[in-house]
Amino acid sequence: MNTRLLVLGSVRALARNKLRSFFMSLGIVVGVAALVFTRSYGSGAEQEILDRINRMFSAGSIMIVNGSGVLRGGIRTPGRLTRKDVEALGAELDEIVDWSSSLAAGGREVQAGDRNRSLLIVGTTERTPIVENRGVTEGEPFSAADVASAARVALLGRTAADALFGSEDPIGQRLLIDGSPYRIQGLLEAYGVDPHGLDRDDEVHVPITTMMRRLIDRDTIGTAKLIVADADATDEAVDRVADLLRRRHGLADDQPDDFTIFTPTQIQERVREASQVLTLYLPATAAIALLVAAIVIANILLLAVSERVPEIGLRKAVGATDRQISFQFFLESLVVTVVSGLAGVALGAAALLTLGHATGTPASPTPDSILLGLAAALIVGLAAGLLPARRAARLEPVDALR
Amino acid sequence: MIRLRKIRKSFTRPDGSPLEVLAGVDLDVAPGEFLAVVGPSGSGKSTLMNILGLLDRPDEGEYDLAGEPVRDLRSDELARLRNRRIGFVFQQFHLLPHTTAVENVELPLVYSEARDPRRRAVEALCRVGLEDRLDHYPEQLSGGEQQRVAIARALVTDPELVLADEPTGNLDQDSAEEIMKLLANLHRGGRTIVLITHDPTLAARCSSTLRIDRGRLVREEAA
Ligand SMILES: Nc1ncnc2c1ncn2[C@@H]1O[C@H](COP(=O)(O)OP(=O)(O)OP(=O)(O)O)[C@@H](O)[C@H]1O
Ligand SMILES: [Mg+2]
Repeated sequence: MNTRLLVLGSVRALARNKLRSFFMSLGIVVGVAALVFTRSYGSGAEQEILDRINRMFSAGSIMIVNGSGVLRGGIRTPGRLTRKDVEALGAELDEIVDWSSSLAAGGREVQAGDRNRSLLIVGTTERTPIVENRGVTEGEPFSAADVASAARVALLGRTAADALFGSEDPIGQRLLIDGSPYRIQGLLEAYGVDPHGLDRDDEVHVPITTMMRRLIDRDTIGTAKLIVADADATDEAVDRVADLLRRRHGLADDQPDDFTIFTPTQIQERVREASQVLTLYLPATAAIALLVAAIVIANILLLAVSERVPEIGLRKAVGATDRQISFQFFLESLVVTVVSGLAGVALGAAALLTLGHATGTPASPTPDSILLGLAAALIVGLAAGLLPARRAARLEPVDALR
Repeated sequence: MIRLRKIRKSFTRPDGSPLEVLAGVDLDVAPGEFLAVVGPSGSGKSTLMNILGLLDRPDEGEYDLAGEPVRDLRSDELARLRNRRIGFVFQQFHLLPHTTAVENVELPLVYSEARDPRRRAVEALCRVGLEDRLDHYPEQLSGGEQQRVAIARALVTDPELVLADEPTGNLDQDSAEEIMKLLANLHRGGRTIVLITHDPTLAARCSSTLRIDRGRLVREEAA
């Protein structure tokens, strides 16, 4: 068999029926483009969220939130988590190598000269730069002495600094929080927007002791973060942390936890679950489009088979085997779907790049989405060609020539 | 070249009763013969040609083509034999529409291992005098020219046997004469030709004539 001639013949047949080929390719182009687009965009968005979480909450760390029911979004019962608890965890559990507490309060009036701004205030410790992976770009972080003495010192985020001081250097300047003066001793490392959509550069940090004694008068903390020596042993560490906390809080076996522990793995699972809408369900709708395309192509090809009965009969008379006839119809289906698949990838990529350009967040087709798109086109081509090819191959030459 | 023994073929009438078209046909065609098959309409001439051309299988009987029994061959083996040994010329030409003359002639070579199919197709068209119509579409050719393209297609694989089923049936006198001359030329070139026709004057130009009569073949003595 002369495959080159057969392929040429298929391409010519398709080129001759431009309208028909157009309708055959339409569904594939749109379906593959949608697949590439949603798949790339979805995994891009998922990756971005995971990156952010990873920065805030790296592998091998444990987050404890005061109170129960935090993750389930149910009723949040107040807890009894204290700095002493956290210090005890660090001291008694060998696998905990670092730890820090924090406590946040939103919407406090902050004044600098004649400007003021409502800011999130976060109480942190001298360990925060290491444990939270966020230090200062200028000036000094809090010292252990600052925390021990509940000093009136503050660290300012970039956005807050710009709003309160403009082009002036804020370091060494005075700041009034709830009317009391604080000395700014550093600028916080830029952070960006957190997964909750909060601008974490629009906040002010004070020592946690200052926060608890001078600003809100409370002896429990908001959250604690622990660093585990061996990231792979995080789950075991979580169990030991929970045991120790329950013992310290004197909880009986039938009483629930009054704290909530979570780990990066749990958070990532939740993000993945949440982003399945983007990475799985949206591409699945594209797959439905492709299924419809397959049905359309199969129908058009079946129509073509009945239109081309004399051609099939003639080809068989001059020596085409059943196999070669079905190969020809498969080929026509494949030429359409592969060419349309490539066009769909190009369209999806163009849409992504345009969107990336418009929103400023670079978006580009991922290799797996391109492979997926082309594989889908190929499968559609094979599936759609199956029935028409079989029907064409089965025609008896005498019947076809009559 | 061809040896048929007791070939039978029946069809089913629309009312379900059987119609016996070939009722035990015996036939021997020697290599290089130019044989005419005549008979009234509906007598089974095309049925016989389909069997000779391996396009249809008889219900019963033996068929040896070039010494090889074909009864038990698979359909792909039959396709291969058609491709290599047989050239067809049909009354309705059966050219592919929207396909140029030279591409039509190339068609059998798509299914063979022949090298240089384009050159061979052009040569075949030259032999039927259509060297200036290579890129014409069937729609742009006269009936006689279309049948010459079909003859070029039949001989492009250089087959030993050419089967022509009323090749002049749709043509005027002059075109029919051209086609007859081409077939006679092929015969002189050593090919075996079976010509099915209604026209006794055409049959008279063949080396022998057979008539289908009530499902059997009878040799006509030259008048
Ligand atoms: N597939 C079929 N099913 C039923 N009957 C058939 C079939 N093919 C042919 N016949 C019948 O068999 C008989 C012989 O047909 P055939 O085509 O061989 O005749 P023919 O001699 O070629 O006639 P013509 O000169 O008109 O071409 C006819 O009566 C025809 O109706
Ligand atoms: Mg006939």
